[in-house]
Amino acid sequence: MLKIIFKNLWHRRTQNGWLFAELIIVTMLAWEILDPVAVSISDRYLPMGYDADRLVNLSFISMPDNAAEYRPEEADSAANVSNSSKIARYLESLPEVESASFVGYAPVLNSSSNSFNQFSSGNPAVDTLVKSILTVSYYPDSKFFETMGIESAPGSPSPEELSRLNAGRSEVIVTEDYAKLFWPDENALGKKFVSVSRDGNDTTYTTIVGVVKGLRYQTILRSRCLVFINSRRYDNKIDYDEFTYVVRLADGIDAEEFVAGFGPERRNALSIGNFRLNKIATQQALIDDTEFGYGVTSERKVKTILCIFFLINLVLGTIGCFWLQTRRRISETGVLRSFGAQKSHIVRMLIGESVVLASAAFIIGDLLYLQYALKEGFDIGFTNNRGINIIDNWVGSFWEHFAIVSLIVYALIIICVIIGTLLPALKLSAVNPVDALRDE
Amino acid sequence: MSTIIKLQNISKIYQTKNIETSALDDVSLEIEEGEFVSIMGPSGCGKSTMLNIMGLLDKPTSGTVEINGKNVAGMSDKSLARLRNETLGFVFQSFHLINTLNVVDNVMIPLVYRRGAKDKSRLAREALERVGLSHRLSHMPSQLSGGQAQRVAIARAIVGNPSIILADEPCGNLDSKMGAEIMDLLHHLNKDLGKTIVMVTHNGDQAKQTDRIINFIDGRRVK
Repeated sequence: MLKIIFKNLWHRRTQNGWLFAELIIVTMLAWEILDPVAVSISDRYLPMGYDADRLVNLSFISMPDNAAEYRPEEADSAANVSNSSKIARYLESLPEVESASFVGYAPVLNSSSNSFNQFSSGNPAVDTLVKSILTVSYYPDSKFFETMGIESAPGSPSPEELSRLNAGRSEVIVTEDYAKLFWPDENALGKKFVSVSRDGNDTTYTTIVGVVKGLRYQTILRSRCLVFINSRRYDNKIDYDEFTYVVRLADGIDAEEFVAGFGPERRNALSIGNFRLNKIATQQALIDDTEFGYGVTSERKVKTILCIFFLINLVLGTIGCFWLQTRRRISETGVLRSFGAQKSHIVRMLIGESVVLASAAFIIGDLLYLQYALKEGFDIGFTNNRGINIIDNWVGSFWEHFAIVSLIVYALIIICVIIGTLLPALKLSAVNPVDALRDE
Repeated sequence: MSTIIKLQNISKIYQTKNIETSALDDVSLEIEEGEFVSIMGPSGCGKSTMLNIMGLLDKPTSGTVEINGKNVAGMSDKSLARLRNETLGFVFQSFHLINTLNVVDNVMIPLVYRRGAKDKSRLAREALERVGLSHRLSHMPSQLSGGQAQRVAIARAIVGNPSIILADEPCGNLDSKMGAEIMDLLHHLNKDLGKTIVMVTHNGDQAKQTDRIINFIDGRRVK
């Protein structure tokens, strides 16, 4: 059968030549269209590193002093601290809630506002590799790490211990992935980052007091490198004009349902002192908002629609090409059927021919695209990914990227070609042998 | 001798939107193993339809077909294909060689669909040797004369060692000399290899060379 397939292809090389050339171009176009979609989808569904599904953000505001319900006696810092604690206690008293954490002005993970910092270890060999790093502030004694679902790295204090840790000005908690950039083979706990002043006279050290497992700040970023610093490392003052609580729901509780069922009774119960609940949203909604804010949602939609459009065209184009090709081969199938070929043999032969043709064209198209990629590089997704440390991911690894997207492109082309050939092949195989033999 | 082909009360009606055409009307016949039978009749009398039904390429509207004692009614496409492959060999008037395959590959076709067939190339070469074309193995069909093309078609018909050869006007497209050569070859297959041959022909002289002549007129067998 394989021999017949190859012989048929070779002897029809003039007719197949055009199709072959077209499939080479299709392969290169497929690369250009599918690569960004593959990267975008991969970025979207990379594990976050923390359990985002059961997180809900509750944003509070402090009423302005000209509001009718404003109570001046509830406005001092002691009352704010006390009322904020009452909010935490109320939230934790809800049966659906496992824990609640005060996170300050805005939700920490996935917020569109973020700050970057740079650290170095004093070892030039690794420091040159390390770029900007996202810095996340947390409030001690707010159950931050366990509420967010962040896990400790082996040998590091537990999430509960880290949450209680009132880290000093020169103390940080880092993700395991970030620590490994500096100390690949050692436990980073207790290690120090080094910072030398511009004049070279002062050297400051920042000690790593905790290591947590890698997590992603945003779904659009591929890095699992983060540094956590104590929000209150300089003073104890907290701004209560706007603040957020993150709650972790108990196992089995659906975050969407929890938000939808958060009725007036609960909202009233959270109107404590001058604080009012402003907004309640799931972490997933926050992720969606952030993506939308960066234009990632619409970009992903456009890429996906383009990709679907391309694939539909590929299928229709293949059906058209093979339809014309197979119509000329009715008599041949009549001969094959006369000598014992079953309908399935005819279908297999025609599909085999198109798969061999598409595979050969793919190899050439793939290698041609590789020449382009060697010069221009591959798509790496969201542009911010250039500025921060991308680690352990196929997107940033040239050859892994090439292999994975090649496989995707090949699989999709083959699927489209099979679908495109199947219809004419089935039609052809169903022609009665007598009618087929009459067709000259 | 045993009956190798048995057709009973075969009718074939072609139905289009408004027209019903009867190609065969209640035809019965039996062909014995090792016979060389010719079917004659004017154009449109149903000879080729009869041959196609015998060859399991077409189904009768009514009646039963038995090949080698097996009633083929209700057989699946797969079983019919296997029976065609193992028992029947076809020779067509217009040769029906596949233009993209060379002579050996054309002859090998029945073996491609034969379960467990080994030495396909050797068997194809032997079949070609038998029809006197061992020097044209790698030629393409377009490089052959009509007589040579029909010899290749005969080699293809016999390569799988079927017991029955169905030939539809095998000399129809050939001049008299070539036609005589093909007839000699068919006689050789019948006498020396014991093949049962059913041949449709318009040529009375060729028909007379066969064991038995079955005449058809207007879809009916003429006794």
